[in-house]
Amino acid sequence: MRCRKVRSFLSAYCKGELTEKRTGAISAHLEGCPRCRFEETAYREMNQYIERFPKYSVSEDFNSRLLKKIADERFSETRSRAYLPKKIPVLTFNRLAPLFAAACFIFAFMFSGGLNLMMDKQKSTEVVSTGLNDDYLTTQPGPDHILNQHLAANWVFSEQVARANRIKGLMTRLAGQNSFGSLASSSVNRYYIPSFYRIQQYYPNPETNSNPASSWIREVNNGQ
Amino acid sequence: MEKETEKQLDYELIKRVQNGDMVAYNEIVSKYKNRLMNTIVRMISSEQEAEDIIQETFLRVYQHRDSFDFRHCFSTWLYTIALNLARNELRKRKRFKFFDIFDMQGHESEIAVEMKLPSNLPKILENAIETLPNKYKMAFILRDIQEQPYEEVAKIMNIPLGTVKSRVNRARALLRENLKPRMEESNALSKGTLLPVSLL
Repeated sequence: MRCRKVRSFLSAYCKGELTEKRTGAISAHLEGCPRCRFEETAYREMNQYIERFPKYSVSEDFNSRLLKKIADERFSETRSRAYLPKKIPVLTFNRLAPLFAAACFIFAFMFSGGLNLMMDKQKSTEVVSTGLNDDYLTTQPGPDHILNQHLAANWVFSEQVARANRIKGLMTRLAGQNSFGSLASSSVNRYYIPSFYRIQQYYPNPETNSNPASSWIREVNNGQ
Repeated sequence: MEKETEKQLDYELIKRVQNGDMVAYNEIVSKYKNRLMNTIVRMISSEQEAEDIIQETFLRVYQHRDSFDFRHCFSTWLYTIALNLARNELRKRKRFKFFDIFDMQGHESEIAVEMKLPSNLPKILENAIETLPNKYKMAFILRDIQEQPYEEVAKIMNIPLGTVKSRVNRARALLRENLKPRMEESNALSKGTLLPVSLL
């Protein structure tokens, strides 16, 4: 082995950190090289100084100071658990968006007459005798699904007329107020107008008929 | 074998600390405080600050006692925390250099003379260790002064084993270079070929 390579391993050789094979090779080189032997002596001397280095130690009150810090830490831990939440909930858009959407839906449902629909279904449907011709009540149900629903639910014409008038009045007022009102009224008209046209099928000549359905049709046609 | 026994003892102690046993915590502190002090003082060259760092280390061990991973060695974890805090302190010092004027006045010439004395080689060696680059210094202190195995040093410093060996070797060579003129002087004095400074 050359001196340069031996000197690169000398510090580990002096510490006994090399393999047996390498240790043997270095020992053999050292026997014949005084300069490398001098370096080896220097490393061994350095190791002896390191072993005799003074040992530092902490101050006497180290433990008591540390335990005081730990006690403060434990106190603050229990205090925060008892009185303060660990995490304050953060109101982010992601959390608020579903609530906002639900609120909009409820609002639109209320203004579109959904509440009234629900209330009307709960009302008792007593048949009020008006002394008029109720033949239409025994009309055979047609293929129309919505009309069948009305007939199946003890549909009373006069009540329907009164209800439609109420809604019409409300929609008229809303349409005049703001853009949301006109949106709501148009959605109602979309609901009622098909029903109106279906009833009209059964009373094709409203101008000549005297029954209440025809008079209602005349009223709507005349814009009253 | 001895290392394994010590490892098992540490696991028992930390388990007891996790269950709220402060006596076990006190045992851990008593066992490691001086070892850590010996390491950290040589890293940052200040006993007072080293003690503060060790206090902070044990406080963090207490705060995070429940997150200790039993797959790892407890002493490795402890040294890692302490050395990270020491590294932060050294980085802070680089940004803000504080000099106490009153400490430096009148002592410089004394220190210079003291350092030139060949008999003061251990002191020269200690000062030489302080001047090593941080990465070599840390590896050297853990391996040669604290006598930690190479594998432990690699885990503490989070570097490969080969890198640890290379850094330790490099640190030793740098110290040897630093000591070389002083040692040659000392040899010459002992052989009588050189007169001491005081006789000149």
